Amino acid sequence: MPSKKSIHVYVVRAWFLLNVFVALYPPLYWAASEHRELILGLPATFVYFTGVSLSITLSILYAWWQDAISGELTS
Amino acid sequence: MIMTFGIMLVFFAGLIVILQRIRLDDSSFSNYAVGNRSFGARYQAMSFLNTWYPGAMFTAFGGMAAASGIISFYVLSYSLLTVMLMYMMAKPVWMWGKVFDLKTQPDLFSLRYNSRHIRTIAAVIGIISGIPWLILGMQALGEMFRYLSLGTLTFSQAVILGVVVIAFRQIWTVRIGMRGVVISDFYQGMVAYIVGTAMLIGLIVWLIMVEGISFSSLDAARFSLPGPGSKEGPLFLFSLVLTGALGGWCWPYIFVRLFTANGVTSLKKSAGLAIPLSFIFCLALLIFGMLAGILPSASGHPNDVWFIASQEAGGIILLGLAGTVLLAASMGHIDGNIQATGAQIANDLLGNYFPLSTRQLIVISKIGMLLLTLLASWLSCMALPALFSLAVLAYQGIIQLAVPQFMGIFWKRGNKYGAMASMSIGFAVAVTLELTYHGNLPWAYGLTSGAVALIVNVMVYVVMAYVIPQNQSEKARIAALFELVNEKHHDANCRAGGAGEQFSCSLDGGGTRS
Repeated sequence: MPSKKSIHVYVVRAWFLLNVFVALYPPLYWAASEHRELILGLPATFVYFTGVSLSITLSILYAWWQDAISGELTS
Repeated sequence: MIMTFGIMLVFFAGLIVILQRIRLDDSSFSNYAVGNRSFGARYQAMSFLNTWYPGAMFTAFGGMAAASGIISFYVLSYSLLTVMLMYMMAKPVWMWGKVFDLKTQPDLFSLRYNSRHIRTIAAVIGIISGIPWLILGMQALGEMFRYLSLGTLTFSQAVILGVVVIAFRQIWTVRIGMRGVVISDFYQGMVAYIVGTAMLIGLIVWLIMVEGISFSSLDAARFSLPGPGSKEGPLFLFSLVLTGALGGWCWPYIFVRLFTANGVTSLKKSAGLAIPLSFIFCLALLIFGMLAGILPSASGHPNDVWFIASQEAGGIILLGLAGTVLLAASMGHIDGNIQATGAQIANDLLGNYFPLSTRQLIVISKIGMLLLTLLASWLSCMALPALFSLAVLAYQGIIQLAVPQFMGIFWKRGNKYGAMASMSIGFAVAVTLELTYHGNLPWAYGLTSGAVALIVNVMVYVVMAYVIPQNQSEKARIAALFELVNEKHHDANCRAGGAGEQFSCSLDGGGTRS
């Protein structure tokens, strides 16, 4: 059974990969560009870029937090 | 003019006071080139930001947001992905840097691929590619001084003034080296990205509340991205984000930030500190640019939108602050570029072929910085019509370092033949395509020349990794290098020498190259 630490390592890796995917996969931004209705009162492409950026930001904060509580950052 | 220049003078005087108080320590080249790897997370975070976001962010990317709209947000995506990459490679790069006393990006190439000549190739590509951007940075300062002189200075006079100011600033870069760069980056970064972000948010509020401008005021075309059937091509945005994220760490002056930290902890913490600030600053800048772009006074002058909106919202005082913010951002980038180039000239070009003492390395590095400052200053005062094209060409070329760099850090199998061939062929392909098609490849579905060359680059690297397998001693050396990163006990001695070049090291006391 994987340890709690290794699960968090996999979560961070998966989140980083997801960030790369959503930031680069063309059909996603094509779809955002085609989407004419506003999302929460904002244009879809703006929501797309802000969402991708927020996800990257949060993933690094999560990785840092996980590394800190697992003792990885004490060496 | 007295008010605008006066505000900048106060900022500049504060900077000089800080620089004068820094203790000179050139007892080793590591002290001079990487500040003896002594900086904590806060200095690292601000130093990274101050080098990453140049003053041109306010003019070029602010202007792009104003003129072209949402496509400019690609800079936000790739800037944050770059921090993610920093987080991922912090441990191996810092560990190798500490253990083997690496001082430059080509040092890392040389260590990983066990080759002396790869250091020269990487250094030459880095130095040549950086010069057009250095000149552009100096000329952007001239544009700023012209604007802040409120029409008193001609463009030529303003460029000369900008060059004189930035060249004067380099006295301390040359004297103190990396320690001066990082400490001043902290001060400059606070002004550029803390004060700058506060100003941007204030200006967005002003645009919405006073000017009545919001996203709904903008034309729908400003929110569209290039897709299938577009003029740019469906893969254009993909290409921009990919090459931007990978390319960021190919610049020697960005990469060397990984060697100035006092540990992996500081590096990772600096990523955690830098990323929210980077996110808020860049997002605010791009939203500001899009909104301010429809100010009637900004029509036809998108690159001046930072100054135009600041002056309209807060008069001469805010205009002076806008100039100070831009100056602070520009200085960090230019200082970093000059410092890294000087270190490479000494360490990776001359030091690669001649045995040099610490004193000689530092003197050559200082002379290199001085000559580069003079060369860039001289070229900045000339009319160079192809300069921007050269800068784009340089970017497409330098990102070819990404393949041997990242694959070398994360994949054991790559070898020096593949590394040298892949980046040289990639560089040649990128330059040829850029010169042939001038940035618009009709058959590439929007991929830039650099992105197409990256595909060739990866193929060459991987094929050569399998066609020319590493011999047993090289395999063992690489395995030892990677094992070092995974070691828990960092006080053990290590040795990871190879046939072409040997390294001996001590994990607790820094290393020597023999």
